[in-house]
Amino acid sequence: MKVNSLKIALFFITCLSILILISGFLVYKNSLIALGAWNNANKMLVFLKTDTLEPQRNELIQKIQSMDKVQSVTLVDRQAAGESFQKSLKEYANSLLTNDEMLDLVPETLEIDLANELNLSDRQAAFQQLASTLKNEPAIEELSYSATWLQKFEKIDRFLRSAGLFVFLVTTLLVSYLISLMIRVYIDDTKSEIEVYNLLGATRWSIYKLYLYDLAQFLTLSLVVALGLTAVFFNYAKTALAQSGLSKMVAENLMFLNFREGGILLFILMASILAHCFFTITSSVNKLNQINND
Amino acid sequence: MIEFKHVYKAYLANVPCLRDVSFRVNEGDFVFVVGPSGAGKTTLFKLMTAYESKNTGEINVLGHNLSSLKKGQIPFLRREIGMVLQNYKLLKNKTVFENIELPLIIRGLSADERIEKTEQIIEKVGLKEYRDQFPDFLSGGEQQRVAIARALVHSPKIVIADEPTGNLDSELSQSIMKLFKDFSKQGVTFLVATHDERLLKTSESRVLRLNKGLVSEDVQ
Repeated sequence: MKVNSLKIALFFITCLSILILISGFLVYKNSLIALGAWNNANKMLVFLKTDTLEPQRNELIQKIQSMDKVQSVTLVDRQAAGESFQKSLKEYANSLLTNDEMLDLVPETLEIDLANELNLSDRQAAFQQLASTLKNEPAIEELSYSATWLQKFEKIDRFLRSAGLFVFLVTTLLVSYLISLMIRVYIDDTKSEIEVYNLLGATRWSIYKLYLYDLAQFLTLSLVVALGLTAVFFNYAKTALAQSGLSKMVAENLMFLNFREGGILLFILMASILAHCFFTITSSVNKLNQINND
Repeated sequence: MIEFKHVYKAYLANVPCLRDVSFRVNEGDFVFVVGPSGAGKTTLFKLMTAYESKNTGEINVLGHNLSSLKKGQIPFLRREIGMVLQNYKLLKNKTVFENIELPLIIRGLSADERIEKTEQIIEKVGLKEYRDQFPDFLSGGEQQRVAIARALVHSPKIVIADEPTGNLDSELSQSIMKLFKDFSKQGVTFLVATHDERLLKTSESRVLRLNKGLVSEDVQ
């Protein structure tokens, strides 16, 4: 692949465009994770009966963990639940209850977390299903989750997710179109070459191959550089957030592209760009299949 | 080798470029195609190389009837023809060597064969010292010689040259014509469009004269 000033300019624009696209996707993906984490404040609390034995409890935990959409089940023992309760009573805690009294009163609790990627309506449906499945369990005293809270914020949650997806799709279209336009500039700049190849008896396919091979190399290089830069920026942002203290929880939950997402994203991008290139070269070959005396 | 039978070609209705053109060129023939601007010389060449199609008549080139030639076969026909155009059509981002090597790459020759053939023709047209130069750094005459070398490097069966000596001085013109004649003796057919009357007088070759789209003279 020979390098010239046009190719260098195209390389920068392509790199930046891909960087914007990947960053857009990461913002979208991590917004979903952040929303999920925010929604996770609504855990289902399962209060166990005081006479529940350890084997019963473990069986129940296993049963809940095997249920669809459940991410984790955490046991809060009486000691921990009591401490938490005492904390909530603040300065009145000591005057109201002794430690032993409190341990008798406070039940063991199971905290059920659902998968982060669930939106609020799915979360509400999942909680309802869990509640109907678990309500007749002999070890359970009571179930609790914020049904009204979930209903209230469901629309906002759905809007944020849809808006994020829409912005990401628009960005993808814009970026692939921008890169395709840049490549069109490159092909237009080499029209004289296509004319000469026609003159010398090159077949259409050999001309396509020449350009597509060149462009595939060029795009792969741009993708690798853009991906590398995004990874560097991502790690920098994550470290900076973690160090700031306030956003430590957010920083811990931030995630980069996984293999599947990266593959799909790159496939869509490469396929749309190469298809556009193919049509551009085809139209150029057709137009230039004549001797131009200019 | 090349046969035109009552060929008529018009780009616009009622404005014919070629009218009832008939002639035959055999293997190894050397033919000058002469005529004023607009006489139909370039159209004649475009028809031979399937860049344009005729309106009526019949054209046979290298045993192919061009009317029945499929689109996919056209590049393979062009590979048998070397073309030297007035505006050279050289690639500016490639060196002299790379420009001349192109037809061999298209034909899929190995690197060793390409180097050997390219070096040979570079020496024949006297461009050895410009081998690694880019066309923009060459004079018009030197660029013309690169175009000629590119047309001859793959030993085509036919060479079509449109004003190949237009930018060359008389000494160089004679040497290029001598080169053409040498190839012609090896069986290569030449069709050369020219305005240079001195060349016609000195070469003693067949002259096909076109005037307003008609063959006005075909003399040996």
